[in-house]
Amino acid sequence: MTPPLGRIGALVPAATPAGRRGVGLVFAVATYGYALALALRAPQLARLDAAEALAVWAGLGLFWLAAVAPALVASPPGRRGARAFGARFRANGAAVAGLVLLVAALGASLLAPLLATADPLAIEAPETSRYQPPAPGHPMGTDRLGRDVYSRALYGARVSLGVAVLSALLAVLLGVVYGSAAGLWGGRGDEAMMRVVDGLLSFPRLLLVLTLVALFDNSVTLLVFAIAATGWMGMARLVRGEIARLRARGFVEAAVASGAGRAGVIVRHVLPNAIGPVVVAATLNAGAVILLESYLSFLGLGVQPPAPSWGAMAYEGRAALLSAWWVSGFPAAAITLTVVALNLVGDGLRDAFDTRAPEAARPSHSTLPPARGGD
Amino acid sequence: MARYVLRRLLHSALLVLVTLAVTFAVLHLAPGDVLSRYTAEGADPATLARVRRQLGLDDSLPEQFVRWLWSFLRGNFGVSLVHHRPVADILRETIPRTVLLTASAFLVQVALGVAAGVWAAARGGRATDRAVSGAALAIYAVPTFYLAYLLIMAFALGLGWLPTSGVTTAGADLTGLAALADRLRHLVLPVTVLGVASAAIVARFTRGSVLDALREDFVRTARAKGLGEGRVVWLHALRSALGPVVIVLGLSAPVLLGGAVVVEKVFAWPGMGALMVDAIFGRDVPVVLAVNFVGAAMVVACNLIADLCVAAADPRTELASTREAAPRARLRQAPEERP
Repeated sequence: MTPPLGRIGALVPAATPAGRRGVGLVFAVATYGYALALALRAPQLARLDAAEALAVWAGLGLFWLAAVAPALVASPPGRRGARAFGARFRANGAAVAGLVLLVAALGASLLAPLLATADPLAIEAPETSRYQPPAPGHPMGTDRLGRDVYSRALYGARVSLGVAVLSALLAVLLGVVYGSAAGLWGGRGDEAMMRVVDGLLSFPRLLLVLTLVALFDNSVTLLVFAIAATGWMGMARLVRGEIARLRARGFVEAAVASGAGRAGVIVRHVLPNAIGPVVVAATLNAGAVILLESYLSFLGLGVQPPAPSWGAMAYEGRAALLSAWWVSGFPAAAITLTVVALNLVGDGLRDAFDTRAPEAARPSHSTLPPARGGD
Repeated sequence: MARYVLRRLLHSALLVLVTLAVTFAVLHLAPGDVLSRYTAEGADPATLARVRRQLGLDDSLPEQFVRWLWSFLRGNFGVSLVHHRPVADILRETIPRTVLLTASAFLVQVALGVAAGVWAAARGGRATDRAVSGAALAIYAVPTFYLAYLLIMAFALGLGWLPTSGVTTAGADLTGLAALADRLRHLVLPVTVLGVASAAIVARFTRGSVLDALREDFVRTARAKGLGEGRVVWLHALRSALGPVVIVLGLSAPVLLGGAVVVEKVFAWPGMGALMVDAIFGRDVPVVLAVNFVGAAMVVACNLIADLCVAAADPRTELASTREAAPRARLRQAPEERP
């Protein structure tokens, strides 16, 4: 069976490595243009119908895969090639389970209008339908205003996952551009740029996001940008570190000496090597963003009611935790499961990118470690 | 060693300057006039012009920045727009409460996180390891405020063992040991929530770090010479893994301070985080900026302490970090991807 990434790589029309990278670059630009446009229209995300949402998410996902796949495929086959990569990922049961969960969550957010049994914002006659426990009519019960928790959780997935995916993508863009610029510049400029990164990393992220939300205005769009603006520093360090590493090995100098432009060297040699760690970091970052969004909603500065988001729902149900656990329990469980899934997938991707043996295959302490070849 | 300490001190001072510049930039990049953040709407234009002159807002940005820098470094953060008191005075009251909370949580995090991480690594791949690692991941993934409400429901409202919120019991006139016990009882739940949540992260890193150490040759040597598994793991492997672990503990400062915002809000703990949230709703810009700066300065200080601890324990650090600013560079993956 061909691993999915390999199949997508085969769909890329260009046959030469340079052509594949070119296609990847075009799609990367398209992904970010698209993500930016979506971020600007973020408030409307929760109101899309199924077909529109499907198009939006599928478009974003395909663009992203198309941007990443050529670089993965262009890496030396066998050791880091797509086939071995897919096999290593599939061998990791936890990571596959995480991926299944993640796809389920994305699917739920896409198909919300089809799966929902009620209007997420519709308030039923309060006296009779407030705080109804889970029952066939309301699989996850109803909340303080008699709204269907199940339907709200489905639509809330759009907001929570949308904010997470968009801000993670934007953070990757910022980090890659900034890190490449620092690495390209080198010397004192590089040093100064990285001190700025260190300085930004010194702020507790929540404080910085709160400040941005307070000083600018309070909308989902701003939320996406504020979260992205405080989440790109790790990415910049990764990319810049990769450049420094390759530079130390003489790669960059050799390529430049043989007539390649510095920017070209970075696009051609450095970024494909850095893509694995960047994808891993972006996945873990998305998990952190989902939690961050829930904290902002909890503090009253995130997604504003009545729009549903998992964080806002978990917070709204806190007053009835003893009498009506389902109001906050299901959204909190959704957050937890999604964050766990993102972390499992991230760890799985890291192990799959890492050419060392996956953790499960590592020796337990009772056996002697196997002799390592080559060192 | 002296040179290394000096370099780290200079680097930290530079970082504090950068954080000040960021704070200043955020204030001036935000839409709207800076003055409008400090005055009520509909103020008299002549008065506004006078205030503008007094605050020095007519000067060039670099001039303003230098003056602002100087006053911040001397601890002059201006006057709160809501409380009409110097921000420095408010911070003097709130910082100790936040430090009490975060420092206690830090102890919980060290004890629980490191122990769980080493214990899981020693059982690498077995069911107990998977259970501990899974639990750590699950705890990390639960929103802190929900965890807090669950614990309040169980231990405060359900069992009635602990108070739900506050620093002391309001109205109770306690003295001596009874007062101390009352304060401690109020501390238990917030510290548990904050400490357990960040211990989950520390446990994951400690586990990875010890697992790496367990694959080293000196561990094989230790086993080969017949040392007990407990000694191998807790003395030999942990000592080698301690560097990254201490760095991660230093890096947990922003996590604890960020978490304190949420925890203080849940438990009505009148510290810096609660002050920050109230200041944001009151558009109290001087307080917001001061809390940001103090938070960042605390983080810089914690990282400095962690780096110096590692350097003191491991002479290789000094040699390894001739160019890279911090031994942090040796971490396999920087633990920055968290809220």
